[in-house]
Amino acid sequence: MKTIAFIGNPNSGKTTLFNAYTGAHLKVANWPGVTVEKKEGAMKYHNESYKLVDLPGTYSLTCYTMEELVARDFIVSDEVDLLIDVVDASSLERNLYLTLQLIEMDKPVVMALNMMDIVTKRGMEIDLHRLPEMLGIPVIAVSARNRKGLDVLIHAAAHHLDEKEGNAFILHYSEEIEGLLGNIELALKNSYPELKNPRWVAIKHLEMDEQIQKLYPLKQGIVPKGYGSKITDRKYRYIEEVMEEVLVNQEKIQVRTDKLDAIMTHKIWGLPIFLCIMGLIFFLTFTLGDWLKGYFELGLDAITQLTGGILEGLHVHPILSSLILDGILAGVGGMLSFLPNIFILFLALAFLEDTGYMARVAYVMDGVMGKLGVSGKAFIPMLLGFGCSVPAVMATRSLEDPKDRWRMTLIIPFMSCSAKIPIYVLFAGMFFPKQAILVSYSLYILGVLVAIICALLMHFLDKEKDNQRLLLELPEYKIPSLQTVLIFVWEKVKDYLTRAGTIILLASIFMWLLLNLGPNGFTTDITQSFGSILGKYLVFLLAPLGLGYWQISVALLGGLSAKEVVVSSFAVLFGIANLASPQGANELVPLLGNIGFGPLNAYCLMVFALLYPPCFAAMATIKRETGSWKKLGIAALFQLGTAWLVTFFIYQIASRF
Amino acid sequence: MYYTDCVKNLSELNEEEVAILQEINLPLKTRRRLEALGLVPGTTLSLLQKKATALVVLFRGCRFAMGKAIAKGILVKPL
Repeated sequence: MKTIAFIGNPNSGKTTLFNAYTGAHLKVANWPGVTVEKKEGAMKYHNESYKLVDLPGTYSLTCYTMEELVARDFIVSDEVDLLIDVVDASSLERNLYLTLQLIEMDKPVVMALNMMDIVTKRGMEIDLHRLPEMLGIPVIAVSARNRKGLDVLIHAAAHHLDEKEGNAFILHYSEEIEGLLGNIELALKNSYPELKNPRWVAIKHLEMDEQIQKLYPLKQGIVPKGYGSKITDRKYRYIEEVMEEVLVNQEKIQVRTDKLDAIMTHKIWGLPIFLCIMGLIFFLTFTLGDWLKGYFELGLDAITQLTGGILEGLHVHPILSSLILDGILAGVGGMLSFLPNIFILFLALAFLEDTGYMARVAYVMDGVMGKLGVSGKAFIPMLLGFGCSVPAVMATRSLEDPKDRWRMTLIIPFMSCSAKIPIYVLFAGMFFPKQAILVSYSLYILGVLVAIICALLMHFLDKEKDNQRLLLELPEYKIPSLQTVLIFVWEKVKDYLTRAGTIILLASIFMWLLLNLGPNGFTTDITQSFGSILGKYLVFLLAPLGLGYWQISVALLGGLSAKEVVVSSFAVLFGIANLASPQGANELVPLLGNIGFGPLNAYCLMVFALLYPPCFAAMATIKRETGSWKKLGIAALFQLGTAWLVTFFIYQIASRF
Repeated sequence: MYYTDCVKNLSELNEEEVAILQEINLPLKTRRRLEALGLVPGTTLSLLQKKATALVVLFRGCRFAMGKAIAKGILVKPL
């Protein structure tokens, strides 16, 4: 089976074109060893099957970023037979730079000239005869959005695959550079006779490419100094020649985008507009989403009851049926109930991304977030953290810089997510009846403060920090493509479902075992479980925080499966039947008072619950997004440590007064 | 290299001012990144928007949001 790889600049419509061929049938994984997404699909054309690979969007093929390295390693490998270079015709000039680099790599290239409709609308024309002549590769006009030209493109690709000749065009550099290239090629041929594209490797040597220098070291003196700038300059000079010849009619000013940007990215109005958009998304996700979630939960309850009935009818052993109902269905179901929120959120985010607004967020929020040393876009996941850490961590993917992604992943769980609200409602209501709202509010603020302080510390300790490093293309505004948006959402939902079926399943079973098994075997009494024994061992850790009660440590352990479980476990552990009612709560206060648990302890508990590691669903998401158990471990320890330290200081300082 | 007074850095331009790129004075990695986007000497740039920490600049038909620190290393000659 032949492999065709899609490559192109960011915003060139590469993914839309790729999706047009594969539909939703694609495999998303990470490239080996890195957290760059790899998408694979398959298609048939004239009884021939092709494997399609979507390479990360890049402007060039240097060794400076993960995406570029991944793309070029794949291109030079034997795995790929042909490249489809997706080019945005409306920014042809910049896109051609990548094209020239691809041609230099000596793999068959076919250019898919996308967004010709925009070019036509602007009253421009591109000479489709002269362009392929000047580049030596086939050029096919397509419209990924309207699915035009798809057959012609794949036909050209299939035809080009059969041709054994390489690309017909070679870009020549200055005499000085060509002389050096000749020497380097000769040296390379001597040392590495099996090398397939010595000219490309030689050019990379002249660009002082670190990876190539490591892979194909040369004797000293053969490469006298770096010629990177001159090589790039020559490419752009040639591109200018190409543009001169192929572009008919002068470019008109792109009115629509500039008019919109005069408002959307305005110095003063840009920020409030963005906050309104975020407010709307937040409202849709967590108000509309929670409303749907209610129905979802009703459905899940019905399923649980139905399963319970069936299990009883089948005379299944009570232990097994408890495992299925209280362990698996409760855990996995709890995770599934977030599905409406996830769906709405990612629908909105995909919409923002595909209209071209998302890139503007980085610019609009640059001033605020730049102080924390992260991209302006990082504001989005941080805000989402107030709803739920799971989609918030998933949303960190829109950040280009892996460092930003990792920092946000560490601090997002400090936000007061919606599952923490029941904890505040209960304890603030019980111990601070008059200032309940103020106390709850203080926890929201505390979470944000801790997050900001941590971000500032990380920024301060960062040795390789570069301030104000924002450099991001602002694509033209466009009407989003329904297919691109839906496929994006489907990928997220599928991802989420897979996780519910694997990690959450295991975590739910584990928590059930911990709370339902004890030295005397199966027990429905939580105080007889291994969980409570473990809780007693953990008391010494929590004692300096004013939380030295085994019931609390068990409740906090339970809270790892979902934060609101802290409340229900609390009720069970202190033997209060109906905690939600004022009566139940009234019984609990004196009971807790008897064991020395007062308002300060309650506040400390809330602080600890706010900051300690997030629920399993969020931790599973961290594992999925970072792709490493080690990073999950570091994140959990970091959050546990922060929770402990902050609570420790609050308790120790406040208890002196 | 010797420049006359009319050479400014990109962040000193006013909104809607057009200029020609002269030189990039930035660390190698950033410079190479900018060159790859088409910022080689002689390129025409126009400043679209400007605020305290960042600006929006148009060149070779594309708009880019750029932090001030980068913009300060880009030397241009206003037209």
